[in-house]
Amino acid sequence: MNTDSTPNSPQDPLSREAQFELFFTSNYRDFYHLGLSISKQKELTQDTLQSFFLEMWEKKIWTKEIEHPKTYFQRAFYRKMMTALKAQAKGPQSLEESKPILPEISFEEALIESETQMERAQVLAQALDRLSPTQREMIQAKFQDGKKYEELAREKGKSKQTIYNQVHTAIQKLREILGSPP
Amino acid sequence: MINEPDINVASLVASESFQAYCLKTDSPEGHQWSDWISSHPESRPIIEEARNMVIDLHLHLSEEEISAAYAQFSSRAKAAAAIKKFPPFRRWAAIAATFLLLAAGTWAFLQWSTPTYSLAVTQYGDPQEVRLPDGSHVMLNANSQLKWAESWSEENIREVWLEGEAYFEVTHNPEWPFLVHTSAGDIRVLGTSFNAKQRKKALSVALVEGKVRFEQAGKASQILKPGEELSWKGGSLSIREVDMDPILAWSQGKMIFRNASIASIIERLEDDFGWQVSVEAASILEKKVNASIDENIPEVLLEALAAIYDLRFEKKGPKTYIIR
Repeated sequence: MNTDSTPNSPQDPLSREAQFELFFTSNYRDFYHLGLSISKQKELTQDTLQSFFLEMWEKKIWTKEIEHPKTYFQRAFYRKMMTALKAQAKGPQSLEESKPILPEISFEEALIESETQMERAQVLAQALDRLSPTQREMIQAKFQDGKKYEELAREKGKSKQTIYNQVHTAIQKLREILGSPP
Repeated sequence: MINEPDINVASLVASESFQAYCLKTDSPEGHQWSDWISSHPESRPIIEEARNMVIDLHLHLSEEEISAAYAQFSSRAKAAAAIKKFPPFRRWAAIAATFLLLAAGTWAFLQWSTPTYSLAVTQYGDPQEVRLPDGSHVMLNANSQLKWAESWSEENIREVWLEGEAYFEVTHNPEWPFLVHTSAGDIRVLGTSFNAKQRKKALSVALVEGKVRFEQAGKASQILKPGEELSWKGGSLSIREVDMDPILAWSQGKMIFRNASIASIIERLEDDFGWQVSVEAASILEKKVNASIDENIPEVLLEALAAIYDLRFEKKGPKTYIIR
């Protein structure tokens, strides 16, 4: 975690907003993986991150003198994630299917798992960087945005088969890259 | 749908039904995979590898996503400076007046960036509660904005600027006038509680209890009685008696439509939730429906409508639907 960049020195020439932006962008990925190791859910993690950072911002916690800021923020986020998970298990949530209740993970376990996850994610990110821009775009649309082949075909004005083939080729290439060290 | 010779990692990862199975999106194809896998234990290693890849790709966080997350945070932080989360399904006092203000698009928040004003902004699907300096409560509906001076003194009138829809509970003080400015005209509060909405190029004001006056520059003002709705559209003004429940439903976390046209429902989905809804045939727009649901969740409404009426809602994108 980049707590070194936690902006709390009074002579910092950056504006309060710029300081927080730095805090946000340099810590977002770490918290994201911590949240995933707790919930296994991308959307819930990102929603909780929004309200977590909002709280940090409003309470100005990030500018206060905290002895071990890294652990402090991680623990605070861990608690928030657990609360969000419990609320989700209880609440009659819209049309989504009920999520399986996960065994409660301790803070230490979550932290270790998030570190393992981040390493994996980094390997994948590097592999994705070696795809062509079009291939990356297809993978992004399919897996992160969750678009259907039919939708993509309509957007790109191509046949469904063409789109499928492009994604298939991109996956094959990705597997090759992942199978061989850079 | 499960093609035996196709069982290799890349084909599995590329298969939409397999993706649905891995990401647990509820679909019949996903369930078929569960069955197939349990009867083919020899394919376990391939399945596992493919499953991990689908999940890793889904969870991958790009730099663009971090930037987008910061942009979202930043706009929320600005709004949150003045508002606090509205507790869902809280029953607001029935003593209320409703203003449906549908007025011209551009809204002049000329001074909002100066520190003397507060601005509350709500996102699609996310109403918020606002407390004004005099202690008055405002529930701001989704996709709306409210501006007011940061500090109020009794020498000046109480005034707020509204774009969108809001429900007001004004702290009673007959000596201290309370004004809601809209681009269509001003609403002078003569009673104690009311609710207001302003969208597009029309304005409507519906009063449940109390007394309000609608004022436009250079025109005679109109006093509204409880149970009446004032409509202002294209320069002409009319007043009629209305059913208040559907108008107030949103402020209680509900959706109520009585003898409502599909066109008016689509308008609500666009205004409050940012949906894009189109119809296959224009005749559908005039169709009248009744629906009442205890949640302000559009998907639930669509389900209810599809179940009762002969309508089919086809999802075309995250917030894009077509009605057949």
